[in-house]
Amino acid sequence: MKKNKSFILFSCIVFFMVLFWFCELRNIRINHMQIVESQSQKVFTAKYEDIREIALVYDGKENPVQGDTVDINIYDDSGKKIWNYKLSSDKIGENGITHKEDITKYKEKLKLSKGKTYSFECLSEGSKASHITLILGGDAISILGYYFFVCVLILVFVAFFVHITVKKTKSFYAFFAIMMVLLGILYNVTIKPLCVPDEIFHMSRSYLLGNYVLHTSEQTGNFEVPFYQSGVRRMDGLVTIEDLYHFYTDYDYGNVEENTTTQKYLSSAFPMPFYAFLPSFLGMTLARVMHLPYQFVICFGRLSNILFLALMAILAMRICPKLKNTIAAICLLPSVVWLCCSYSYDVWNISFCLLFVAYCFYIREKESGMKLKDIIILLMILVAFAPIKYVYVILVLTVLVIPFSQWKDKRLFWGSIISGVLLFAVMIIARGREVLNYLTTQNVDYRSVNGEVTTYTIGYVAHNFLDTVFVFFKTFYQNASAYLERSISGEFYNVYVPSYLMFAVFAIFMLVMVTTLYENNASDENEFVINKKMRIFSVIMIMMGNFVLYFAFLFLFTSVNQYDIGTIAGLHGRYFIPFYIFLPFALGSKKVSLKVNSFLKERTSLSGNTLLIYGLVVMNVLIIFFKFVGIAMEG
Amino acid sequence: MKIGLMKKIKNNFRKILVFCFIAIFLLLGWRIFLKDRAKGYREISIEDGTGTFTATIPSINTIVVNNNDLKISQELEDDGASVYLYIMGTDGNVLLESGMDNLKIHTNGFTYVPNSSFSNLPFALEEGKSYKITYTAFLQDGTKVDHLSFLLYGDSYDINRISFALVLMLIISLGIAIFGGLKKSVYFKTVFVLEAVIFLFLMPKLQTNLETESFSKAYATSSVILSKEYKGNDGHVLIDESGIRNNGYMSYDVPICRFWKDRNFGQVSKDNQQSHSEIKESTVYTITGNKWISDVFQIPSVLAVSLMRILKMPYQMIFACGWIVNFLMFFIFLSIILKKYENNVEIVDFVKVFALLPSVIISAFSFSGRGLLIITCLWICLKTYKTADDNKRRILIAVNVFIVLIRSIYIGNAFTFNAQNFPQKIDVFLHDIVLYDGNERDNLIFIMYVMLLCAVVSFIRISKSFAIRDTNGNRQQLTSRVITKIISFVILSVMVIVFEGSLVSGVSLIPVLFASFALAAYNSKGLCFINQGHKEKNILAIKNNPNISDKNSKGKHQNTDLRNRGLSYNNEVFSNKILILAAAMSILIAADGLYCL
Repeated sequence: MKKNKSFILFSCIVFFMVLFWFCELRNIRINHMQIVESQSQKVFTAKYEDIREIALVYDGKENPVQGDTVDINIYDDSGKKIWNYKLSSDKIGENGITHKEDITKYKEKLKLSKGKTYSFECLSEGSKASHITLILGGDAISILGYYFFVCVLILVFVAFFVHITVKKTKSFYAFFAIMMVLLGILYNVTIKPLCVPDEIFHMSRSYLLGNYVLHTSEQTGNFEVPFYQSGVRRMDGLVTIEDLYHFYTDYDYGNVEENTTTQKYLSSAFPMPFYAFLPSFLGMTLARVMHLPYQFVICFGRLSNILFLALMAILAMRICPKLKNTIAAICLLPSVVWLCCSYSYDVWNISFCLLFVAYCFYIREKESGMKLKDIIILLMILVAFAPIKYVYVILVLTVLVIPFSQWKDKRLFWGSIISGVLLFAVMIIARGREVLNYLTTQNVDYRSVNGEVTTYTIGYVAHNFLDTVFVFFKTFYQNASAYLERSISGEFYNVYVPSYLMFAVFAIFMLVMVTTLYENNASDENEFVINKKMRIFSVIMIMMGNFVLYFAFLFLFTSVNQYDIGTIAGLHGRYFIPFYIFLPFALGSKKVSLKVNSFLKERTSLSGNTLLIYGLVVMNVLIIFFKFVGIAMEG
Repeated sequence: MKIGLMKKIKNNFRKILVFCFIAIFLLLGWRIFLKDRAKGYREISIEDGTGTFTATIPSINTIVVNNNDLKISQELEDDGASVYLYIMGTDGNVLLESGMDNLKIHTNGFTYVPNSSFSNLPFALEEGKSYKITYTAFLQDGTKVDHLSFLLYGDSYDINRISFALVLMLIISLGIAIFGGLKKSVYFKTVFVLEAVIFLFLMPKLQTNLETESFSKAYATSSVILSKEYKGNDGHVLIDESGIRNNGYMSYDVPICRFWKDRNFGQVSKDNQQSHSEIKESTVYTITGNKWISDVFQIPSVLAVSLMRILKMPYQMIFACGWIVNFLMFFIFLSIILKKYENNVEIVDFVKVFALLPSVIISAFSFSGRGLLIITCLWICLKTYKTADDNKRRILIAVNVFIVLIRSIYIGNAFTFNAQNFPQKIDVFLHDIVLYDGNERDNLIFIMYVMLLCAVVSFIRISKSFAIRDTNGNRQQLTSRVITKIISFVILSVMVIVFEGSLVSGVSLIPVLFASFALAAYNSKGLCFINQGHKEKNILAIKNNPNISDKNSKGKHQNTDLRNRGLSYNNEVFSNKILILAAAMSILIAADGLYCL
């Protein structure tokens, strides 16, 4: 009977996969890509015959092409010019493929003989342009193979998932860690690298840390990061399913050893402590030490980040088991999985924020009361995350959940207050000027506005208080829904995720939050956790967290709209995620209970709340699938 | 007195908090999006581009243009034209020469003000004085352009009072919903009507493809009734009133203000009973084939349009009368259903939540007759469940399914539906069920789903309210009925999607839902509404719970209904919350419609 049901489940999944193929993807065609690197003496053996796209990338710091156009000449092995094409110089990518020129409608078709040797040169105003990499796209194929591979991976994932669920796995932590890593692998295979906001800079920092360990040369005076694999350097511009396919299939390309810097990859863009990039650095460096192809360097960095989140989350769960499902649900939000399967430093922030809150609740319940060891640990966690994003400093108020009675040693109490004040002073000295600068001058983050604009300062806000209130309201009205949506399903590729799926994730997540503290009818036991004070405190923390984020971005990113009431710029949904940990205390209700029906009861011993966590895993897989299909449909 | 007030405030603290929060939210929204921002213009309309006009405004600040000639619509939209306008005194002296090159001109809709920058403006006029006006216009290739209409805009005026009154109506309806609750029919109807007024104000803006197509049919049918020619070339409906013809591009504040305020623009000229322009066709209103006959649900609006045309009422009245007649019919049906099923709380609750869906309110106004279709299907569905006679029930089911399918086949455009991006299209269906065709906005996603959830929850409660015993007292298989509903809903939906083709939207699937529910009653042997089990529990709950007062201040049993209806106390509170939540969401969606002006 069980086998039959599993068979029906798998048949349904396969049916939908086939349906998707026929309805959405069967007409999509991608070109094979052959990349002739500038370091290769510009000689190559043709892999494909019918060339349909062509692209150029320059590898130096400056575009070597001076004129408006560049002549691309292709020669056969006898040195005879067989093809010429003029490409506009602004279409040459800088250390990454930014434009592919369709040459199918060009009067001269470029036909190569497979296995034969060719060479190319680029002429700019009559002289040879150096440091140019040529990209040839040809022999269009269907993406069936790639789609099949992804589907098989998903089926394996589902099989594994069902196996774990039905086997009544005792260890939730093991389940959680395995699922996180599997989801990480799925993301790696389906979504292009460097797609998280600012990920390119974060990857540069991780790579730079590796350089410190592996090589003698470090960053240049201009904060440019030297790259030792040409493929890593040309990662930017990887956009389409075609690029992704090439990324995973061409192991001949991208592994030329070099020591090249570019202004595109700077380490100074985010003046923040290096340790935020340690997790991804470890994965990246491991792959580099093993001399693995550049694809593995990239993927290892991403995977080690998600592994780090999983481990930190398990640590937080173990410290405060009552928050187990809350932490798991936050970590299994598709946006968090997506963020953590990247080079983003948010993995560090989220991990330590969760750990800090979990530790505070652990001390709250601890029988022996507050010890010196606890204060040191709390301070260490605080030091780990607070300097990365200053707004999260507000989470330090979570120590207020520790009742006064837990401070059995009063000297310890005063000692920790003094050390807290000292720590705050150190933070002010470290980045206080930067904050003050944003608050009082016209300076804003360099990525936000260009040109002469008026920006928000304390003085401006004081003089235009009501207008500023309106800006807050308008931002909330127009964007709150988008922030919520993006904090659930991720910043990019939302358009590919149907909103009912996103709402389903939201509903599951909220149900976990509402019911988690009363799981297994342990209401009496939890009575002390959710009392009126705790509820008010949590609501205040969530509201304050939101307000501080709005406030920070008003000064950091927003220019004054001269003609109308403006909105706050630069805010992303992911910034709100650490504050979600207070949701169970704010929304938790005894009245809502989850009952496992007889069908599930026969098959698993898991509680209703934990089953919802499992549901989130399923939702993640679905969302990854939809994102992949969406990217593939764009061709 | 004071202690009583304080006690009341204390007892209703949460309600007061929620009300104040949403009310402040709505008022802030008005301040930010509407106050001094939503505006119209005092205007003089020159419908056929030349002639004489009497100045009713002190100066011309902006000029906007509209093309009436369908043949050159694409050229004017893509490449634009050079337009020069001359205003002369009665003595023939040219007082103003104002022009603009590369002006992109809409056909049957006026230019957006920021896109118009005529030279030599503003130009002062002497109020009450007559002026002559003429123009020359040429396409990029030198072809002369005739048949332009102009609107000479004077100062702008705000609609602060109107918009504030509308927002205030929303706040009042919110207050009624929160403090009065929607259990009482009179409160519900007040909230419903107040919201409907907001949507009526927004109706000129909500001209979806189906809406214009339906109006075309209604107008063409009325032309046939009035023995007039109804169709021109390429299926364009022949329309007498230029206001109707030029009803395109209505998605923002200026044309909506014109629609509701300008009585001089767009009417049939009184001297010759003809339109100003000789061209009577419009790109906005077309009919395909010979489908001028409206379907049965459009009859009220057809009659209203015909009557207004006979009475030579302003073009706005033609629209408004059609909308209002449709709405009245819907409202009467709704009231009948509420009255007829007042003893079954679940049914009444569902009908209320369902009626508060913005898409349903808009459908109630719609010329497509969707409102009447939906309420008829709901009525038949409920009747099917209540009928014990097998044959009668089967006839009702057949009628319900027949209406849904036949209407889809009639209005539809079979097999034009494209299955690509189907997951996203399901999204659109779901949005439409709440927000009407294609009116979704990013900031409404969560509100919309919460409202949908309210509807689903109250729908599920109906299923539970039907007794699960047949007339012989045997237990019915609830799951098999659920499966029947799901399967019949899927099959009917696919059929409607196929028949309606490109016209299909979420609103179309609402009658399908009722038809499939009726189908599930096929073998039900006469389901009755009162659940005895619940009733017994209920009486017990009232007896045992001292907090539930069974008597009101006059000493009468107020929970008698509760006992008879077979509802538990908690269930009652829960359903009330669902109703209030649905009303609040609906109000927020209506407010958003206003804020988008």
